[in-house]
Formats: sequence, C-alpha cells, structure tokens
Amino acid sequence: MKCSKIQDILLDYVYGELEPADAVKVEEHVRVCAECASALHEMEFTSKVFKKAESRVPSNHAVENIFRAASEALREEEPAERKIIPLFNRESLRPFLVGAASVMLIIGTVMWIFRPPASQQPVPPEAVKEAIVPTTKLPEDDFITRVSANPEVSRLTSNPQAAENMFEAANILYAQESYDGAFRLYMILYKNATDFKYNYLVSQRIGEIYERFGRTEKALEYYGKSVEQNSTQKELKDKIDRLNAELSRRSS
Amino acid sequence: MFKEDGDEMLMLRYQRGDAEAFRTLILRHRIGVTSFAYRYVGDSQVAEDIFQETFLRLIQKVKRYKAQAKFTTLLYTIARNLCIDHLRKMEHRKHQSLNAGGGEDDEGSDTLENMIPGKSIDADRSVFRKEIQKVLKKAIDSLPEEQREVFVLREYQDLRFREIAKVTRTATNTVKSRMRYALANLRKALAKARITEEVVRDEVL
Repeated sequence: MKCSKIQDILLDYVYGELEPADAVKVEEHVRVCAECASALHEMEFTSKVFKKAESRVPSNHAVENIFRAASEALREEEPAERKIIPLFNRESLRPFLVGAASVMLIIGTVMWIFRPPASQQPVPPEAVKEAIVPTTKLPEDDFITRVSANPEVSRLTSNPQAAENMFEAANILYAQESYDGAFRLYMILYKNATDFKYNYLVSQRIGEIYERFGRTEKALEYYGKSVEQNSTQKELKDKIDRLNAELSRRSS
Repeated sequence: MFKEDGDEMLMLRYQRGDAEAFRTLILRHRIGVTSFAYRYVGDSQVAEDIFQETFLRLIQKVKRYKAQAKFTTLLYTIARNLCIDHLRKMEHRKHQSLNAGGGEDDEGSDTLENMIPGKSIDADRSVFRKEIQKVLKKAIDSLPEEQREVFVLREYQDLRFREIAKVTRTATNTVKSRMRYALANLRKALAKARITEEVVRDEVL
C-alpha cells in the first residue's frame, strides 16, 4: 500500500475502526516506512496523553433530580395507554401490591358492612361456587349505590394518595383480567373521587369493562363521560364514533 | 437485535414503565455526558446543568423513542445542542473576556518549567499532575469548536466517526478531517508545554 493510502486510514487505525485485514496492512507498512510510523506515533501519543484528561462526575443530587423526574414522568403518563404493566419487575410492583392488598381489605370490609340482609343471602353452596369460579358478571347498581352512600368510602377516596393507590390496584386487577374486581374499584373512584386527577381514565376503564361484557350502550355512556372530563382524547373520540356507528348498524 | 442490558433495551424498558432501567442509564452515562459538556463549555457547574437537562429532554422524548439508532448518538446529539446553545448565549461575554485576556501574548508562560518550582517533578507530583491537567484542559478549550466536539466524542465518548457524523450532521470524511486537525493542534500544545514522552512515561498523570 502507498503512503498516501496509509495516511488516509491511519486515523481509523488509531481508533480501532479498521477491519482487521486493513489493520494488518497498516502494521506491515509502518514497520518499513519511517514517515508513516512517525505520523502514527504522533497520533497515538497525543491520544494517549489526552485520554488522561480529567473527567467530571456530576453530583448525586443531579442524578437524583433526574431520576425523580423520570419516575414522575411515568406516573403522569396515562396508565390506560400503558400497554404492559411491568409485572416482571417485582421491585417496582411491591408498593402497588401493598396498595392493592390494603385496598382490597378495605373493600372487603366495606362490602361486609353493606352485605345484604341474611335472608337475602344465597344458600352457602352457590355462594361458594360463585367465589371460586371467576365471575363473568359485573357487580351491578345495588353495589354501586351502597358503596357510594358510605361516608367512610368517600372520606377515603377524597385523599388523593389513597385514590391513586386504589387506581393502581384497579389497574393491576384489570391487567390480570380480574374485571369484576377492577370494576368495583373503578366504580368506587368514579362515584367518590370526582376530583381525582385521572378521573377521565377511570371513566374510560369502566367503559372498557362494559364493552368487554358486550354492554356497548353503557360503555358509550362512560366513554362519553371520560371525554367530558378530558376533551383531548382524540383516540377515544374516534372510538366513540366507531361504536355509535356500530350500534346504529346493529339496530337498523 | 439489542442486548438485554444495552442502552437501547434500557430505554425501551423505561418506556414501558420501568424507572430503574432509566436509573441504570443515568448512572452509566453520567460521567460521559458531564465530562463531554465540561470539555465542550469548559465550566463544571454548567456541565452539570447540561447533564441534567440532557436527561430531562431524554425523558420528554422517551414516548416517541423507537430504538432505531444507537442510544449514545441521540444522547450526545441532545447534549451537544445544549452545549451549543450555552456557548451562543455566552458568546458575547466570551468575546469581551478574550479581548481583555491577551490571547497569544502569554508565550511560554504555561510550560511545565514555569509551573514547577525547581523542575523537581518528584517534589510534588500532585501539583505536577494538576498542572498537566491544566495544560490538557487549556489545549482542548483552545481547539476550534468543530474540532473540539469531534475530538471529545471520539476520544472520550468512544463514538465512531460515522456516529459523530450523525451527531454533528456532517459527512464522515469531514469528521475525520477535523479529527486530524484536532490531533495536530493538540500535539502542538503538548510540545509547547514540553510534555514529552519521558514525562508521560513516568506515568505521573
């Protein structure tokens, strides 16, 4: 190889960007060419010295600031759009599970308090059956009215942090396809936590559950509310139009 | 396509809600980005601000992140733009201080002989090391901006020439040519400060 050609690729050689075959050519050439050897040496020397220039380490404070912003950005993101809830990441899931467990405990208590009078309770075998078999039925209006009338529940859900925990718990149940449980929690939020910052997502999720259960009209009702609460949801608006069209086609 | 713990994968994991993946990214690149900014703008505090701002912008971009390009290309493109913004803002002030500071008149004032009392290298290695660091910093700072960014990205951030071409929006050949000039200029700065092979061989740095 000629010197001019070697000089062209010397820089790539110094920074390890050459193919092995070309690197060998450079090495062979500089063994016999003093001029190119010197040029190579100068580059390598300069690079070697400057490599030792001090680097800068940012403060932990700066690192934590960024991390906090990164975590907040996740929370602000619309959870309904989060396709995959990171169930595989146990660390990050733990607080949610704790939240979910405590919320379920509260719900359980609430439901026990407002259980139907003994005479109306189904006979044990059926009750047991219902508990074991995953429900495909939605808890209906009587549940909703009972829960929304409970001052304890409304006090609980007026606490933003509690509402958020309940919302996360509902999202997890939803992701696990436990729609009846999710529905109960969303409904409690819907009825009581009217100022909750994700109330439009709550309405949307209720709509989605209704849609899953083939209750298109109910679904539309809640989708409509969601859009009322947050009018920037273009995709949801499209969905409403689509469902409306579907409904009118079905009825005609 | 991407390594499990590769930057791109971490970015995608963050996109799906895994904040810890983003923490790994911050920790992995904190020194790189801060040092890059430091070498670009020459000020530690500004460098730290740019480091923060770079990652904050990254957070804003994460939703649309597609992992099509190498993560570091994106990272250093953002960091570089912030550095440029900062330097443009400072330009006016910088001009003034340069005019006042007498540029090339201080010939010889920062050779090692002048900086080390009695030339006794062993007498105070840490002072010596500090002085060499000053020389290196000054040499990098004195490079024209277009050479400096190429040099820093290749030498310290380990970006390949074609990646640097993407970051700086220039042709790869232009990048290489700037790199050659940068190395030649830096070599001159070393010679001027009498940083010789012997000095470096003693591994005082």
